Amino acid sequence: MLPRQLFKAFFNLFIICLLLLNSSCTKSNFYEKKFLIYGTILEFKFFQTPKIIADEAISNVIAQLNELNSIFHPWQNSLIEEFNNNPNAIICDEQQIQMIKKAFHYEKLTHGYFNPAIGALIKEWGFHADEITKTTPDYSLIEKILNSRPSLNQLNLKKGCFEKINHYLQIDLGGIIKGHALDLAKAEYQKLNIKNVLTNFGGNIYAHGHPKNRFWEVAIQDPFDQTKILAKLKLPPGSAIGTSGNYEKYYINEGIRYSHLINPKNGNAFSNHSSATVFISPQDEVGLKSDVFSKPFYFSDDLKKMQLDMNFDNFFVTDLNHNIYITKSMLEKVEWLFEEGKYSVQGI
Amino acid sequence: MKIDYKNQTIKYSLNQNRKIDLENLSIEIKMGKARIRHSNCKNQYCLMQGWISHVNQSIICVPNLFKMTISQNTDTHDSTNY
Repeated sequence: MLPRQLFKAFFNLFIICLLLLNSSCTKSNFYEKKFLIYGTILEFKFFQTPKIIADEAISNVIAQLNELNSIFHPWQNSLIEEFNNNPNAIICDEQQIQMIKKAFHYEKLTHGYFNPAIGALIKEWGFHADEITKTTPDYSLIEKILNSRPSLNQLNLKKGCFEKINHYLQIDLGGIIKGHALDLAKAEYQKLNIKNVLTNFGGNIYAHGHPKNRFWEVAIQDPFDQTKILAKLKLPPGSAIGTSGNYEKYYINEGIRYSHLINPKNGNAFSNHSSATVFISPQDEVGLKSDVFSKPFYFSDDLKKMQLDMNFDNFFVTDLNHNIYITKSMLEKVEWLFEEGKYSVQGI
Repeated sequence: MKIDYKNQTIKYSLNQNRKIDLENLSIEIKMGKARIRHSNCKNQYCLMQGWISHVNQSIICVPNLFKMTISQNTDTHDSTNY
């Protein structure tokens, strides 16, 4: 072989070794990224994923989140905000229509405890704002809104466009968007053939694949002390977990905590519960369900009935008196980590 | 985030917005970052540091013997549900 050809051969071999070394180094490490998107923390933890592919997935997911925000943000110059504030507005965009139809499906499934048509109530309690400050709502307006029984079934589909028949109806998809974003991330990972990544969007977590020789492990925050952990559990590949809690966005007025979780049945911003956590086994719309399904159990005072109505077995609820009500199935999944005596655990 | 103050070390999550009132200082955690919001020190250098949010960033208030550091997550879990 001529010296020039020999040099070229060695150079190519050197490059190949460098690439193999780089890819093997990346593959054996976790790769984590954290972002703040519209006031919500988005975290990715990849395992055995080349950085360039992980970054592509992250970029695509964030682009989709930006698009969702421009359409569905409840108060920041979005298309939905325009629709809500204009009594004669209509929605003809197919993406919006499909999302609203999906939300309506879950409104029915949760017996109205997840209700994306109560934006007017959420706004009246002061939660359509970046900075939450305590407020005293107009109770007569709340009563009028409730009496109109806002529901997505009050959207009339006419010539391919939704129009409102209840002017108190305002769409707020805040209870579904985080979970939906997890499903978009899942689709992105499948498209890019990414095998193992944990995605946390505002506390809702989706487990894609798993690290070596174990499942992804998540801690569940103590609803009364955000510096502490209530429990841990392992997420099998394809599963998700979501929590609705009164500690996320709230204000205290005269000793009462008012939370952004507004009960669609009675218009109240306070509840007997401090949190409700659901585990969703691998299935379609696993992320969306992890977001939506916590709402009925957060609001309901009859957990057993709600369990039967929803035909759903994997949840627990904490109440204001430090009682935890948990199903048998969920009890098998969690490992409690609270201080002895802090909580009383009871079966549902 | 870790706070060292008056022989105590206290940890707070950056995931939860909060205001922490200590004896001579007040800390604010908001949207994944932290800052000193108020201090009774003379030169107010600690306030001028503004917000921190990256691992190993820290703010010190020498007159108050106070230090706040964004620390690596050493928990035994991969992420936190809240």
